[in-house]
Amino acid sequence: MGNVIARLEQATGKKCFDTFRRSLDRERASIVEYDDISRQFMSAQGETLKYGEPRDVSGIAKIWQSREPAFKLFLDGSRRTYKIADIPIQTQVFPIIAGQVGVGVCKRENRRLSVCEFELHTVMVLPDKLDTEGKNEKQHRGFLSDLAQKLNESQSRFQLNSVLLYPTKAEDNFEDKGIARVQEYMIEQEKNMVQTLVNKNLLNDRSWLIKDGSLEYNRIANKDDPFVFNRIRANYKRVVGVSKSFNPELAKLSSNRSAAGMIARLKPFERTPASLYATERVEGKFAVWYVRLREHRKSRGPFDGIVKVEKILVTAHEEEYGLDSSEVDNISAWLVNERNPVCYGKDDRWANHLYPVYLTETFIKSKYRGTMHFINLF
Amino acid sequence: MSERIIGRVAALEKCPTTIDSFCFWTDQNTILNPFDVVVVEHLNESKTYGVVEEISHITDSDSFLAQFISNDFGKLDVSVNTDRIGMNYVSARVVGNTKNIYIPVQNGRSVSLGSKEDIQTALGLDEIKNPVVCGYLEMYSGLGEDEVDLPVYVNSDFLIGPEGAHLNISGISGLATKTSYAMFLLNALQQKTMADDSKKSVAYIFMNVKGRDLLSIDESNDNLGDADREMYARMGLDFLPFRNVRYFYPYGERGTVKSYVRPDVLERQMQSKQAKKFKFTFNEDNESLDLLFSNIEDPNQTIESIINYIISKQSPFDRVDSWQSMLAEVQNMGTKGIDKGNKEISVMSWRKFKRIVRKSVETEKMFNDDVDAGKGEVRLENEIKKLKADDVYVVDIAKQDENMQAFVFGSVMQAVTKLKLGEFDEDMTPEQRELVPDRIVIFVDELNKYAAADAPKSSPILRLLLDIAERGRSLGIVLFSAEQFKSAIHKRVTGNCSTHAYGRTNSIEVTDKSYSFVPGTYKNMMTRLKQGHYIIQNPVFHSLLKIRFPMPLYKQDKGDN
Repeated sequence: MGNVIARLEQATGKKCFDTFRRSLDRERASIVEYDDISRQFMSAQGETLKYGEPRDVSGIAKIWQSREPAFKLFLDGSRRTYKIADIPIQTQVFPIIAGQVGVGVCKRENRRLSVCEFELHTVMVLPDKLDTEGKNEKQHRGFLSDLAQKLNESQSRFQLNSVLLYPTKAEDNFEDKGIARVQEYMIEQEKNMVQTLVNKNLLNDRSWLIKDGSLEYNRIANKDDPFVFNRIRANYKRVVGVSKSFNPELAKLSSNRSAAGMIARLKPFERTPASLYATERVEGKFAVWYVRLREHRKSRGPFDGIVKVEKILVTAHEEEYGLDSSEVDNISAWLVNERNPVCYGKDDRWANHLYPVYLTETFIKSKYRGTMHFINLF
Repeated sequence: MSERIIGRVAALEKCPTTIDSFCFWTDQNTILNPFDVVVVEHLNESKTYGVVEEISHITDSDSFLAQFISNDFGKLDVSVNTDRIGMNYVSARVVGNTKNIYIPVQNGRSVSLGSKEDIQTALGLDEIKNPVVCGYLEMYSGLGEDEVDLPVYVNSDFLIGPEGAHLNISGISGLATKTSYAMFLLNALQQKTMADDSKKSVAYIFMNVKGRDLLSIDESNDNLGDADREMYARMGLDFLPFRNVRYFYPYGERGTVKSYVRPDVLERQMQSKQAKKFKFTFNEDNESLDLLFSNIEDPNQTIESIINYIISKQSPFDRVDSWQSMLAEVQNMGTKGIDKGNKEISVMSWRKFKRIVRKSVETEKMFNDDVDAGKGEVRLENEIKKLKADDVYVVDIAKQDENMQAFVFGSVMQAVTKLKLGEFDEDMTPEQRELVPDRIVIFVDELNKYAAADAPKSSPILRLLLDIAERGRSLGIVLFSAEQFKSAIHKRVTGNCSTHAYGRTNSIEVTDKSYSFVPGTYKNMMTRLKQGHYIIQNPVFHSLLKIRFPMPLYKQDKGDN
């Protein structure tokens, strides 16, 4: 038993079980589901002009080829989770989860990528029953920061950035809950990173950001939270979320018919019309559309080579009329111009991957501590 | 002075750092060259020095297919916003450590360019005793202000003895400038020994085998460019051609010389008593007869028997005192029915001997028994006896056929060997003996004609050369030789050379076994070396060195013959 767990036992008065420490990422590859089905379409028209058919943006892409690319920054976040011990509380036994959360931004200058910002955090996730006295999040925060301080003082091998709590309802799988909490922490760090870029004035007309994955951030009830949507919305004026994988059945046309067929039939360099939608759990409105980066015949399936693009509608005008169609065209064209080179042979998702995002992801992964090293830090 | 960090050591599972080598990564735009010295931080605040051997560029692409796909499945006009991530990794060979720590350098340690002092220490150029400049080193070329250039010195004890001796220069004709490099080195040697009286005395004999290459080496080179002048100045050499030069031309028809030398040059040299015409007389030079048969197979040693028969003055050769009378007696011996005294040598053998010897002795006018000193005529052996410190003898054999060239070269080697072995001591006064130089350097181009790997084992020239190669260091006879392909030279000759200079060669040559110690990149570089660039190997240097040298200081007459 390491110093950290010993100190935790001392602080909580509970004797932990010695558990086989291991990484949880492989056994639970897709534990967190984001593309939920409760998406509510506000309107089929998420852009100023109404298009019933896909639009070819290859001409626009060609024009942009001779100019400086607008996407200069690439953000990715990832996390690794590990089970490091079990802790008994009353009659139940709960897992203690540790995580490494890496969030990085790479910037592109003269066609070469370099690191712009990077954060690597170590977190520990405990069951919320451990803090029975905390009645709300604010009270939990006090308990957790105090505990984090004690655990950091117990050793000098690493800095524990945060101690988190996962909810403990009887029917839940606690490991999944712990992992989901690490995931949420990662998303917070991503938002934080965007804030940092805005503060440094790095996001502007000539310097857009591609964020790997969705921009659908969970609704935050607490109005004091620094990441409450109204506070951060303006940050996303020059941010585009690009998802490699998506569930095409969840994309709907105006008549609530599936848009999967239209997406699958997209020709190279075509985009679907943008839709405007919102979901229950996510605050704000989005324009969402799909762009095919590569020919279908060279891909494994009909949706290979297609990326899902999201843009938060920032202004009141956008929320009402949708994103300017020329902006949708431009963003699509920029993405088409990002299609090469590819990470074929390195990543199975090469057809949907954007190379700078792939490099950012590779960079973040290269900074993680090795599993054996990490799990023995505790 | 540069100590700029250019990369970090990468020790991988599949490519670990070792006592002998290590790899490091650099930015793909960092310019480095093979032979550049790099410095790595090592334990106990020591520095490990490496010499760049190979530079590779890699990207994250693991297949050609990925490259093809990255161009929209094979389109040729695709432009990309992001260059594929790539970097260079460099393989370097360890050449030393400042505190003699030879455990492998450690992963992540910084790798930097070296300062001038670092480079000198790394390559073993910092503590050269008896230095003789052997070229000019340019390092980090293409790196702007980081570029370092410095003269390279070799320890003369390892060049002309006693520690090591003999130099071999190889390289293809025309581009490798073998003669120019040898002359540059010999000029530096002469300048050094003349400036430093206390050191050993050295004399030089050059065989001029091509055109007028070496027939004006005492005249200044008026075409020397500013860059070359600057290089000479930085190497500490004066702009002086060879001094104390004497030229020896083979005697030709009716008092002329058999040479490509320009008449005006010859006249000037004759007037200043610098030039002599050499002859071989039967009475004094008959011992060199065997040299006429250097390239002739003699499996039954019949030719050798005949030569011994003549030299030992067995009847009827006891009466012979001239080339003509020798030819007459040989003719006689080849005639049937004459009582030849010695029945062991057949008539056929005498006839064969006659055919060969007659061709040479009758057509070559230098076989002449009348040496008139008043007309500037000399015997080479006599002149070699007079060789003294700092003298330069140029023996011209350019216009002679191969056999005659071998004969003259062999005679010169024979005379030098005799001189150093003291065989002439009886004819010399104690004062003359005092003047015999400690070291005699013989330079000959086209060594392959005399010491080819497939030369007949009985070849007297090969025997002489092997003797010089193997015993010359202790005797004080040093061979500076040159040829196109080192692989074609007898291994015992090249094996005894302490210094090797490699000029531009061809790709077939570098695949030969004798180049197996040279790293692949260097081999390829050997096929691309520019004129005036050489790769040098000497026991004192920690690594092969790529050097350059300036145009010669003497007048090079490259005109048509």
